[in-house]
Amino acid sequence: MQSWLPWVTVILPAVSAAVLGSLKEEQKALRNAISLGTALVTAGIVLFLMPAVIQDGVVRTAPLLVTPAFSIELRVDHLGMMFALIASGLWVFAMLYSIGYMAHENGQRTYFTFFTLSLGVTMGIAFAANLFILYFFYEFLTLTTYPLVIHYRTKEAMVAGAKYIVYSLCGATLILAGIVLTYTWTGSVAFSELSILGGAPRLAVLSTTALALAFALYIAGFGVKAAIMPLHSWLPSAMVAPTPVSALLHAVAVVKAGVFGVLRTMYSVFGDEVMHEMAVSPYFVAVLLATILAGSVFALNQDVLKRRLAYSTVSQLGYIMLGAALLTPMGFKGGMLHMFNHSLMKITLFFCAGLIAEGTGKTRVSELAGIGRSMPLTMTAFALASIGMIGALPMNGFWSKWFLINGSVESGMSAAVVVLAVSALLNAAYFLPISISAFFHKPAGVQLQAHGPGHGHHQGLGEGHPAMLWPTLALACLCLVLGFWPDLPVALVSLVVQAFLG
Amino acid sequence: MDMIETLHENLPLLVTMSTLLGAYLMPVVSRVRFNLSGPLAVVSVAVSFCLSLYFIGVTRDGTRVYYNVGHWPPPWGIRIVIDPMTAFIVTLVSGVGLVVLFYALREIKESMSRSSQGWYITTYLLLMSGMLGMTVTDDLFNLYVFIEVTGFSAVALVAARDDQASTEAAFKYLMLATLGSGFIMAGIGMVYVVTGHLNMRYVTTALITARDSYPMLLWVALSFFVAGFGVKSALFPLHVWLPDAYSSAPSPSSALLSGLVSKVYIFGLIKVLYFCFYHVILARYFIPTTLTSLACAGIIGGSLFAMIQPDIKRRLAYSSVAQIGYIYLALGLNTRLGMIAALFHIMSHAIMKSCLFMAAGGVIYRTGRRNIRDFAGLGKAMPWTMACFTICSFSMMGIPLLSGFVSKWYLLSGSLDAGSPFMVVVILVGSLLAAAYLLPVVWRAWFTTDESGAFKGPIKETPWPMLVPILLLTGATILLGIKPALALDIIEKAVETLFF
Repeated sequence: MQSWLPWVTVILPAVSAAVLGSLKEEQKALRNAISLGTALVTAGIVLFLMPAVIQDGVVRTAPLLVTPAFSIELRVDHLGMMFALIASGLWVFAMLYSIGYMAHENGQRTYFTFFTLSLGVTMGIAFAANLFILYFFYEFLTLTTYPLVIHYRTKEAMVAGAKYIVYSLCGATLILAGIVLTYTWTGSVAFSELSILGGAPRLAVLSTTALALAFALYIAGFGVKAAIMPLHSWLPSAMVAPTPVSALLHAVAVVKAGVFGVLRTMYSVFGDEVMHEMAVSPYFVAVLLATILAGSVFALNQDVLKRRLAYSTVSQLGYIMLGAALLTPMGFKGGMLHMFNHSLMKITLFFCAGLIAEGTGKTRVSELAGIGRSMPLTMTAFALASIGMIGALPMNGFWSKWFLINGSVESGMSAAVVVLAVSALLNAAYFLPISISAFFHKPAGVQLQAHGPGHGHHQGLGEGHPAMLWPTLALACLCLVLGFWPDLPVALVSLVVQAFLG
Repeated sequence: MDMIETLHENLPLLVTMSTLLGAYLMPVVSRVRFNLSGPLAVVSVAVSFCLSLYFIGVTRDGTRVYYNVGHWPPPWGIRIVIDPMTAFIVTLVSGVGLVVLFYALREIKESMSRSSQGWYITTYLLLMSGMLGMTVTDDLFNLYVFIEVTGFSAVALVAARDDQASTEAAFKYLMLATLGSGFIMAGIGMVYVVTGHLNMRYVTTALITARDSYPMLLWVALSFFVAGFGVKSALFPLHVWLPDAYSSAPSPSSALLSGLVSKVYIFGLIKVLYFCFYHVILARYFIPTTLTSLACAGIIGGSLFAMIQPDIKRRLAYSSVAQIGYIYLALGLNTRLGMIAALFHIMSHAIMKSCLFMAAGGVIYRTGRRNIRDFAGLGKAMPWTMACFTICSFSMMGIPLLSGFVSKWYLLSGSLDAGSPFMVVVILVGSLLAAAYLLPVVWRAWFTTDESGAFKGPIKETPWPMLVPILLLTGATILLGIKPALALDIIEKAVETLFF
């Protein structure tokens, strides 16, 4: 089906961002309205496109031909729809949360401008019809999220921002190398139902080694944003950003864009058969298993809550890519479902961390004893999401773990099963104590000092700003509901799996 | 009727002549009626530009236009040939020259006395005529004459500011440029001895038989040409005059020099290497490998030197060394794809670098400061200038949808095609280094504020007559990034006949 709507999801946020950039710092109400409205409209358009994608398989825009090999166009397939749904849907929540969180902060104009712009860029990544467009928006995402990372302008923030840019640019260079190789070998960079390397007639000289090299370039390139170890260290540093940025961008949009890139590489560029031929899966799976374990181990050591969540993200992203790397329908299903579930749960956790910081000024796990008494709703949400991360019923996280473990067993990777089990235990070790201590321990004295810039506005008792609280609770409930009725996400994910693995 | 026919017949000559005539008339006009000097300059360059566009239309299907100067037939007369490649370069030179002229006319109003302004415009037009003449000529000695015209005008434009740094830089440039001319002259002499001709097409024919009789002499001649043109176009390590020259020259001169002059010398080398000799001969000698090795060194060396420069114009100057390295890298591949990449990057860099120098010039014009640190907060004070600077920086870094990306793409494809992954790595590292020396400036402009309080009073945006050229060139960068076919069509036609 042809439509120009996908372009709206990219262009509308850009236009809104331009408008937001021209507003004055004081025009708060208008700015909040435009930001929230843009997020809602974008999410609405994505939802609107969903039935068409489910029915037709793909929605394309009219291509604007630049050279014979390369055209500017958007293509919404199942995978792209999935990513766009997660991103645009959660952007609405994050925008609402931002309005509450940033209410007393400086630099709101810059913040909302780039927050909105990043939405359009993420949609561009999701809907890219060929490797060039993907590369363009991918590079651009680094640039549009940079001002958000350095928002507080402290020395730590500037260092984190520089690290982010350097890592991302190096990654982008590797991706470009991969793209050039792909084009030289096949003369095409466009995504379609067939994979680029699998569908095109390949040169006889192409050895598995050469293909594996190209694969390594892509994975290393996308792996920076997807926080594959050892390319992950920008992520914990980036936690100096305001919490909505950490929550949405560094738990959902940016890192999932990296994962999306890895998935596109595996299934749209190389394809199922070529992946089997190359036999790189065991090595890739090994790297991912190491990431999963190491991420969880590092998380245990972190006292700063946001950094603990960051390392947890590193670990959990490994789950998603593991599912895809298993190359079986069940595994891929588990991975895709976890992409969905992890986004929901992680954003909830980050939102809770932000609520705690805003409400009490506390940022460290060691300070959170007894906080469940003053912030029961927040900590309940935290507890629910934690249970989901561990992978226990009745939360949605259980289902993705279920499929992943089944998929690992199916493909005979017992190592994966062991690692998944160990990681679940580690998750329990670094999440449960927080919730337990929050509810069942006494608060250590009464400290109401603010830590960090601009925190602790609602001193002492009571939950946070409603604009921050309601999205958090809603998301936690959603996790719970999807734990009981996983049918909708599973159905959507099955469509994706079917499209790629037949 | 007769007049129009004559005019039409002589159009190829008019491409060069119009700027030359303007240059001849300018000293008188600037003395007698100063206000007419700007319009006269613009008209002479505009005529060349319109003619070159016309010739693009004529040659786009591969036609070649031949014209004998003074109606003397070759091999004794001088012939002008306009083929697709020549038309492409001539359009680039006159187009960018026209845009920079508007910038120059406004900029020199403040920095020079009236009589100096008159001489500046005269020299500008002489430089344009030299470049255009170099491009269209088919005669080796005529090429040399125009090389000298270009060389002297360029040196004069560097020295225009009449302070110690400029004079010293100009002197250095003069010495090295003369050395380069000497090498070129020697090369031309050797070719003449071997073939007995000075007309390039005749030389090619004669070389078919001569090349086996005098292999060593031809090798020496080729090396001399590479050395001569290399010095003039700042091929590493013969680039040493460039940082001083570009940074101490007035901004319009820097823009013109870095954007066009070095490129025209590279084109001169292309003419000699590929229109006199051809790629088969070249492949026999060490020339292509030399070019690529020096180019790789230039890319890395130039970029590294650029990173440590605190002066914005020196930073951009070293960046030019690196970018010229890219062009030589593409040339050294000695393949069709390499030549396409080289020609596209000649165009792309001319546009980007002129724009960057003009933007930097705008900043210097308004603030009087040239240090990177003084760019703090300029994003707020001079948003249009810094936006254009940012976009052109992104293009230099190779971000897609900008012309720099297309160049980089063809360079990478060409390198892979020629089977050299090492060059791929060099090109990619070069782009990262470009980010390393350009992003800090961009970042400082947008994300920091001027805390030193060094600027008394508000900083205004660059004046409109200087800003519009910057905007135009930025627009061209974006346009060529989204629709590179605009240029690629003629480039591909140009390269068609060179490789067989």
